[in-house]
Amino acid sequence: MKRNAHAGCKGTGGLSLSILNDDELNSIHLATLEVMQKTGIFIDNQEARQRLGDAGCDVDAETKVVKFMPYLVEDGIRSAPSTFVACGRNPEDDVSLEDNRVYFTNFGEGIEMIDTFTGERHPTTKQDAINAALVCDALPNIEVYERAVLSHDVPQAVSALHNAEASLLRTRKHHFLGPVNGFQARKLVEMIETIVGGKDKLKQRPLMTFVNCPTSPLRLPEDLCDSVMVGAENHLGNMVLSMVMPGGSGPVTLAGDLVVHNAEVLAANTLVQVTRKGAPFVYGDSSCTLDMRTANACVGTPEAALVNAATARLARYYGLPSFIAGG
Amino acid sequence: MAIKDIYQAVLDFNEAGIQDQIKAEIDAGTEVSALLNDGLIAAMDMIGERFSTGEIFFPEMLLAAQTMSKGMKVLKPVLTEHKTAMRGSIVTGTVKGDLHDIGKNLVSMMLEGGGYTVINLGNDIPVEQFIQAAEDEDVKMIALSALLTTTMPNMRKVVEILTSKGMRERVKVMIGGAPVTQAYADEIGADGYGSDGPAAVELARRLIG
Repeated sequence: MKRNAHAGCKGTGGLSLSILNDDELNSIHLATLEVMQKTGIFIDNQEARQRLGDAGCDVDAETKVVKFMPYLVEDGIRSAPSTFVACGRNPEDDVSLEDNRVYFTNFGEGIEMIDTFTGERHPTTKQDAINAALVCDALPNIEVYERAVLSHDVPQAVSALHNAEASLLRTRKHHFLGPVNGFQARKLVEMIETIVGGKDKLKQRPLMTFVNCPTSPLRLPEDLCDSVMVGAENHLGNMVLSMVMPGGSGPVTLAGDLVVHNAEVLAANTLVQVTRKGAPFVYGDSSCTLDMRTANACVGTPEAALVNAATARLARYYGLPSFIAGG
Repeated sequence: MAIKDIYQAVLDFNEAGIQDQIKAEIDAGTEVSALLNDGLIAAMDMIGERFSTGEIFFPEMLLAAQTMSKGMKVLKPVLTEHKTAMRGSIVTGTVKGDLHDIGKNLVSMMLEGGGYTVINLGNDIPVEQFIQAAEDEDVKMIALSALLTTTMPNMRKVVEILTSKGMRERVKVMIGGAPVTQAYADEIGADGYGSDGPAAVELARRLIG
């Protein structure tokens, strides 16, 4: 039997969850601006406070709370590019993150592993990170690589560098990797410059996006600020992923959770944009509820799925590429 | 009956009323040590038990701890006057490199509820700061928390330094946090492991009374 294409038929490709309409998204946005201006964000980094203050934020040096003027936040949203090319080793490995194009990545960061051959459970090592990168490189459905497992057997002061070495040499795919602090962020820039052939080449082929997490509620830790500033200055993308936990480190209502989440991520984007206007930024989310019985973060719950769907919508509303946990 | 009312106020999370109730009891001449032990602490023990059996969850535990803490504000000055001894001091904190503190704060509140004086150092605390805090003679225990497998080794360092300084006899060490286990406590020579707030209180009772 033959089934030829319909003539002139409109089709819908893929699947999406539009759980918030534009009016609702606008309400979340306005509430976020209010929180950022009236409550402010705790910025635990002198240099970052300085830059935000110079840009027009209201900085309290004593409490380290920075109050964001709404226009600065909105300027930041506009100046972050809507299209983000996640560069792989070769142009054919590049992935274009924009609007509602969806890609998949592997899970990160695993801390234990069941050995394929012996069946034994062990804390992950650098060799596991190497193996994971090779597997991710081979799998066509994984389009970008996130550092998969932790290397327990290396000096932790330079763990990000070992992670990067393990995977940069084993997968051609774009890297999402946490630099942990400014020192390692600078070293990562040097590593990538070495691979691509210098500073200017890095601008054209930024192989890595830095990953950093705020400390909810409403706090950007010192190392996050250092890392994102290094990323922005050196033409690498920054993905800032909040893991605010409704009922634990944020409001128990999902709308309230979204506002706190949004405020943290947009504060980081504002810092990125005042560091270098137009620097690429990826909106990250791995928000999930706190289990009130065990105090565990529940990554796979109905609430997490709703928040994940909502943050993806929010990022699209802002015209920012997003990196969202699959709750 | 009177002490029972204080006990009940904690179980009812009566944050607004407990201070007046305790003041009235003190004025009526009720023994302050009984108000503390048979009222507040006994109630928190019951809260711990209900939590362990799954009857209540964290929000209720927090409400009870807040009620207890309100009550303590009124009771503490009187206790000092009557020289009623608290159960000793416990230093709590999350180890260096680790910014997670929800669990540690819950445990600290429950230990306070258990009648201990808690010195909560915060998170990302260097090994030396724990040792320094434990130099105070009143400190009978250090309670260490870690959520990351990479920061757990700092717990071992605290035990090692306490041993090398000859403080190990006086200062007990208990550990906790999501990746921490009894086996790890045994391995590093800690005195015990607690899986949650009530378990930590039970362990403290066993180790330091």
